[in-house]
Amino acid sequence: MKFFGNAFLTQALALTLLLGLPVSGMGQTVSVQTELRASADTAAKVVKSLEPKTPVKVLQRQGFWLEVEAQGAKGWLKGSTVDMGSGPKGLSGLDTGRSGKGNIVSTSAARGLSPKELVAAKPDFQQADQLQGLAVTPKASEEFAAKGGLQARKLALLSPPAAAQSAKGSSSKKGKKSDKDEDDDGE
Amino acid sequence: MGSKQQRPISLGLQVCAALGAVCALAGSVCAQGISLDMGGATLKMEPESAQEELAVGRLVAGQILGAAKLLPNAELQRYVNLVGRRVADQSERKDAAWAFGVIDSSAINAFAGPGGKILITSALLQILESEDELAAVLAHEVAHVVRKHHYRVIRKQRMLEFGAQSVAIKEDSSGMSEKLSGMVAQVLARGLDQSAEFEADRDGMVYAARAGYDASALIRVMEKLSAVTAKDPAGELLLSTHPSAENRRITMAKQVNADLEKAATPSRSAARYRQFVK
Repeated sequence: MKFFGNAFLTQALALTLLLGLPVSGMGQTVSVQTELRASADTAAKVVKSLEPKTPVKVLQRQGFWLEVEAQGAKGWLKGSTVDMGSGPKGLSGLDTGRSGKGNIVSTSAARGLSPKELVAAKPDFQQADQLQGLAVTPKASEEFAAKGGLQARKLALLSPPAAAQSAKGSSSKKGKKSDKDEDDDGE
Repeated sequence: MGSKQQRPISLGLQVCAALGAVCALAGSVCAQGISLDMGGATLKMEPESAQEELAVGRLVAGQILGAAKLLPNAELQRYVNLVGRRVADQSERKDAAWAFGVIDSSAINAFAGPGGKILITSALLQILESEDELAAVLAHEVAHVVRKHHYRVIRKQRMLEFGAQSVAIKEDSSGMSEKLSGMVAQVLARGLDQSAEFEADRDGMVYAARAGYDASALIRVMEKLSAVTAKDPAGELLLSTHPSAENRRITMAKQVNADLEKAATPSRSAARYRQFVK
């Protein structure tokens, strides 16, 4: 397989996505007290109330909702209430991924992009200028969108979450950026 | 600018750290330009400019493209540009010089060059399955550009490393080009603050949804990326510069509002991806 420089690991990943990992028994649990609902809607009938750490088996995803089996019942939970566990896992097993190299095949051996390789690289400004040459016009993009049946929506940007609402473990050695930066960055 | 501009490069770490703290706490001040009197040596950072941002973008793109080249597939490159432009046109910076490129790399990643130069690796394309997912990834990168995340970090880093002698980043500055590229490479390898990544996820979901794509597609991408571990060479840079995919998934899911929920359905063009990426 010419396309991948380190084909083994990428193939392994693709294989994982293709074959799927079992979605049960992978440590998926409810992270907060929540209601299992009859459909993917906060107004839907409550099937069961689930306590934190209740094991669940994820069956499928629909938008931001997950259909699960829990304590012998089937129903829907908001995706944010399910802890998928640690390590390779998750919903990747629910859909098939692709393992073939397809048409994105290079004429030369693919390159890695590890931090070391990135730092060691000699800049290629000719390629950077070629990149600019790939740009398309807004008009071409509009026509492309119309052809695909895409319809624009008017949506406001989301507000930053309060610190207390950020995901468990979101703070890290690099996660202490000033709130000021966020507030000031808007255009 | 007087001869004092030559001095800051010799300033001690404490001064640099102090300057960094000022920049970190005052993004708006950095945007407007700052001037600090450091015991007789004046450090001055010029205001941001579109011209400088483009020059930084060229440095960023050039560095990445030095490590992995553009994939020689014109049809695919055009497709990715059409999707990317569609998303970028929903942002607050429609007028940026948006250009999207697929690079030939076994690493799973995507990059945002200041001014609108976006790169996505062929390995990441390979694990995506729909135009919605492609749009979601590109929207995340577009958000970095709109928020000027890398541009501001690189400006700050340039000031810390080179002081006021590099008033404007120009690749034709004699002797500076190589040093600047080295600094840019370090910034790319180190990554942004995690809060900037969460912010790009948050904005990216909205840009993709505004464009008519599935608002939940970036969540789906995170589900896929959760299968990548930092031990995989394919995921080494991605995971060393970003929060975990699971953390990003949960953080995004918690921020979703009713409008985005309504926009969380596959687009009519989702399957078009297969025509271009087989």
